Amino acid sequence: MELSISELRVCLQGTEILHGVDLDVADGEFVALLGQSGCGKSTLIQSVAGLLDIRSGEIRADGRSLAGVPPERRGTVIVFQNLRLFPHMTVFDNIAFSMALKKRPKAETAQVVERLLEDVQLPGYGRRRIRELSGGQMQRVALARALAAEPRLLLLDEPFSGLNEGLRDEMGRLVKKLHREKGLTTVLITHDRQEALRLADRVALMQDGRILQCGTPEEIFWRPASRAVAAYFGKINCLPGRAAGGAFSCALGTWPCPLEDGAWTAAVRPFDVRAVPGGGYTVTGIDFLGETAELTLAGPAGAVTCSVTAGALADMGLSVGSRTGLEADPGRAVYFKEEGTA
Amino acid sequence: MRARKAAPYLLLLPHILLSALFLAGLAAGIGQSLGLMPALGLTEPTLDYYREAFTRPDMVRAVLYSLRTAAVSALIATAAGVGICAVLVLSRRAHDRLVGLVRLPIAVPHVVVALLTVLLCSQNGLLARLACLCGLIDEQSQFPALLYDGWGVGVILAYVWKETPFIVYFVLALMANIDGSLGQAAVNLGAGPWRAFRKVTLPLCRDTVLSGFLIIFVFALGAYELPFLLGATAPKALPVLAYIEYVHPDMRHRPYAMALNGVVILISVLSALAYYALMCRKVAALRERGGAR
Amino acid sequence: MRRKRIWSGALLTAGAAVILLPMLVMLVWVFTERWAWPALWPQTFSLRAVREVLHRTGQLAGVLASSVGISLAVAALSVLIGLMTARAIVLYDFPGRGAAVFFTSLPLMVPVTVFAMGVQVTFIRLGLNNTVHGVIIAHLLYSLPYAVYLLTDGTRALGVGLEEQARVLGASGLCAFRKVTLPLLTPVLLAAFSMAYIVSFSQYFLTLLLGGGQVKTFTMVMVPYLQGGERNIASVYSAIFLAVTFLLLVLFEKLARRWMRHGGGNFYG
Repeated sequence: MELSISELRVCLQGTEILHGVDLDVADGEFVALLGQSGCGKSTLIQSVAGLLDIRSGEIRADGRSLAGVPPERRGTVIVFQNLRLFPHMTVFDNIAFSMALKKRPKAETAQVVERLLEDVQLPGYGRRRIRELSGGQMQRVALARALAAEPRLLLLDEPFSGLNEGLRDEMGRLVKKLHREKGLTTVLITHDRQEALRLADRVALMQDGRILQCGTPEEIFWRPASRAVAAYFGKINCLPGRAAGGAFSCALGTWPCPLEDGAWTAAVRPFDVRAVPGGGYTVTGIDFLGETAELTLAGPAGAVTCSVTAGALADMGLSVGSRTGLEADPGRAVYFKEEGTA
Repeated sequence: MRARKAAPYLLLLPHILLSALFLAGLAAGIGQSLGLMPALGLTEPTLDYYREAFTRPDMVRAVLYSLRTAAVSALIATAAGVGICAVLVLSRRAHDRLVGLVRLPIAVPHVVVALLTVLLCSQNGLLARLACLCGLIDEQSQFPALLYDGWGVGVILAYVWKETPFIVYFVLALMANIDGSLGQAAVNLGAGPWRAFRKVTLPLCRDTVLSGFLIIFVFALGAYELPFLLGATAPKALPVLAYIEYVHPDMRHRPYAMALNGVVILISVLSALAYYALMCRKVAALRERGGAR
Repeated sequence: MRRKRIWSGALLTAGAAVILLPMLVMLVWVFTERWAWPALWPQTFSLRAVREVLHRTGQLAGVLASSVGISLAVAALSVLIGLMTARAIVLYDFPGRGAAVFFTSLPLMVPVTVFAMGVQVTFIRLGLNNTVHGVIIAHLLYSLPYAVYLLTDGTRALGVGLEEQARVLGASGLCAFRKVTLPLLTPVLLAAFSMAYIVSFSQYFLTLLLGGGQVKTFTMVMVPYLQGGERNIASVYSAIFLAVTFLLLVLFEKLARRWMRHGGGNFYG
C-alpha cells in the first residue's frame, strides 16, 4: 500500500502532539520512524491505523482518503510495543484471530498458522498458552498474528525494545527477511538509530511532533538537513568558522569549499577528526569502549571529540595530558549557515 | 483516548435516565419537606416543619438517637474492618479461605441480621444463657437489655456485625496491593513491617477507608429495618419516625416525615460532598492514567 | 515470626467464630420445638416449623420465585448498565465526566428511606407503584453504584489496549468487545452481578413502600414472623433463603473460577 500523510495534526487531551506531519511511504517500502520517546511516533502510527481522531490534515492510502474509515477496514496492522497478545487464547487462536473474523475455512486457517509459526521460527507452538511464552517468543507470536491479518501496511511500534541485544538483532533480521519475501509495506518505529539505519529503506527522523528529515540511511547520515538531525546520529563536533572566496576557515584550518560567504558552522563526526603529530591540543579524557575509543581534546577549537579504533589508540601511545595535533577530513564535514550573524 | 463525541453519552443514557428518576425522588422529598404539596393545596414554601423537627422533643431525640447509633456503629465497624485487613495483610493471609468467611455477612440481609441479633442478644438469647451458665446472672431480667433499649446497643451490634465485613471487602484488595508493592519497598529501605504498614500502606488507603466509612455511616443513618426491628419504642430512629408520619392517615403529617428526611439529607449531603471530594481525586488519577499515550 | 502467625491465626479464628456462631444458632432454631431458659441446648427438636413453611408450598415457591427473580433481574440490569457506564467513564474523556462519576455513587449517599418516601409520588404518576418492575427499578438504583464501582476498576485495569489490537486486526468495535473484553472481564462481571444480587435481595424498605405489599419478596414475608416472635419460623425462612443465596453465589464464583482457569472461552473450537 502506498501511504501519503499530509499536514497531519493530532491532539490528545487538548494538547497538540503532531504539528503538521508530512510523510510518504511507497508501496513495498520499509520506512523507519526514528525519534526519542514522546516525540509523537506512536501517535502518528495510531492515527494512521485509525485509533486516534485527527484534528486536521489528511491520510491517504493508495490515493484514497482514510477519513472516516474505521480501524478494522484500513488494513493497517500494528504490532504494539507491549505486544497485546490476547491472554485468554492460545498461540494458535491469537494468530488465527483475524482469519476467524473473516470466516476462513478451518483447514486453511490451520495451514496458514502453521506456516506463519515456521516463518517466525516457532513451529509446533500453536497449543501453548500466552503466559507460557518467553519475551522473545511472545514478540514472534505478535508478529505472526499481524502477518496473518494480511496487512496492507504493517506498523511496528518498537516491538523489540524489551529484548536483549542478541534477540533484537535476530528479530530485526527476521522482520527484514519477511519484508523482502512478502513485499510488505512496513513502518518501524524505533528510538535506536542503528536499528533504523540497518533495517530501513528510508529513515524519517521525528522530534517534537514534526518530521525533521526523511531520506535513505546514507542520505540522512551524511547529509543531515539540520544540526538536530546530525546530532541524533551520534556525537558531532561543531566548528564555527567563516566562508570567504570559496574557502572555509575554522580553528582546524582552512580548506576549499564552495560556500556562500558568511558565518558557517562545520559539523564533523568524531571519526572524521584525526590526531596527528603536533602540539595544539591536550588530551583531557579517554573513554575506552572496546573496539573503539573516544578522545576528548581541548585546544583552539574548544572541546573536540575524536574517535579512533582501539588499535590506533595503542599505536598513538596517547594518555590523558598528552599533547597532540588535530586534523579534520574536509570532505566529510557538513555545513550549517549561522543565522543573523552573516 | 477515543473522543468520538456522542459515544460516551450514549453509553451513559440508561444511567442518566435512572439518575433523573433518582433526582426527581430527591427533589420531591425536599420540596415536600418545605411544605410544597400541590395536591393538598400547599404551595407556599415554609421552614415550619424543619423548625418543628428541631423543637418537638420526640423528633429531636430521634435525630440524636440516629446520629449516635450511625456514628458509633460506623466508627466501630471501620476500625474493626481496617484492623482485620491489617491482620490479614500483615500475616500474608489476604488470599486465605478466611477472607471468604469474613465476607459472608455481606450476603446476609439486614432482616436476617435482626433475627440473629434477637437469637443471640435478647434477654433469653444465647449470650444471656451463657452468662447464666457462668453464674453471672440468675434471672433473664438481670441480663442487660441490649435490644429495644434507649441506647440502641442491639442496633449498633447488628450494624457492626454486618458492616465490618463490608469495610474489609471494600479495603482489602487495595491494601494487599499497596502493601505488596510499596510496603515491601519500605521494608526494603529498612522500615519494620508494622512501621511500613503504618507509614506507607495505611495513608495510601485513607481515601478508600474514608469512603467506606461514609457509605456505612449514611446507610446506618437512613436504614429502616434494624432500628424498626431491634429499637426501642422511644426514642425512635429518624427513618422509623419519618415512616410513621409518612403513612399517617392525615396527609398533612407528610411534611413532618419529609422534614425528618430533610435532616437526613442534610447530613447525607455533607457526607456526599466529602465523598465527592474523595472521588474527584480518583477521577484525577483516572485522567493521569488516561493520558499515558 | 511463628508466634506472630499464631496470634494472627487466633485473632482471625475468633473473628470467624463471631461470624459463624449466630448463623449456627439460627440453624439450631430451625429444628427447635422447646428451648427453655436457661438451657444452652434445646430440650425438644421437631420439624414442625419446617413443615409449616413447606406446607404453604405455593406461598413459599411464589415468594422464592419473585424474590430470586427480582434480584436476578436487578443484577443482570446492574451489570449491563454498570458496564456501559463504566466504559463511558473510563474510556472516554468528555465534558461532564466528573458529574457522571458523582451520580454513579450518589445513591450510596442518600438513604433508601429518604429516596423511597420522596419518589413514591413520582412512581404513582409513572404507574410504577406497587408493580414488580417498579420495585426492580428502585432496587436497581441502589445496586448500580456497587456494580459501577467494581466494573470501573475492572475496566480500568483491563484498559483499551487489547480492544485496539483486535480492531487493527480487523474486528469491528462490537466484535472486539465481544471477543476480547467480555471474556477477560467475566470474573469482574460475575463479582458485580453477585454484589448487585445481594444488595437487591437484602432490600426491605424499598419493597415495603414501593411494592405496597403487592410485591412479595423474602424480606416482606420474613419480617411479620420476626415481629410476632415466631423465631423458629423466621429461622426456617431465613435458612432457606440464605441457602438459595449462598448456592447462587457459589455457583457464580465457580463459573468465574472456571472461566479464569480455562482462560476464557475458546472461540474457534
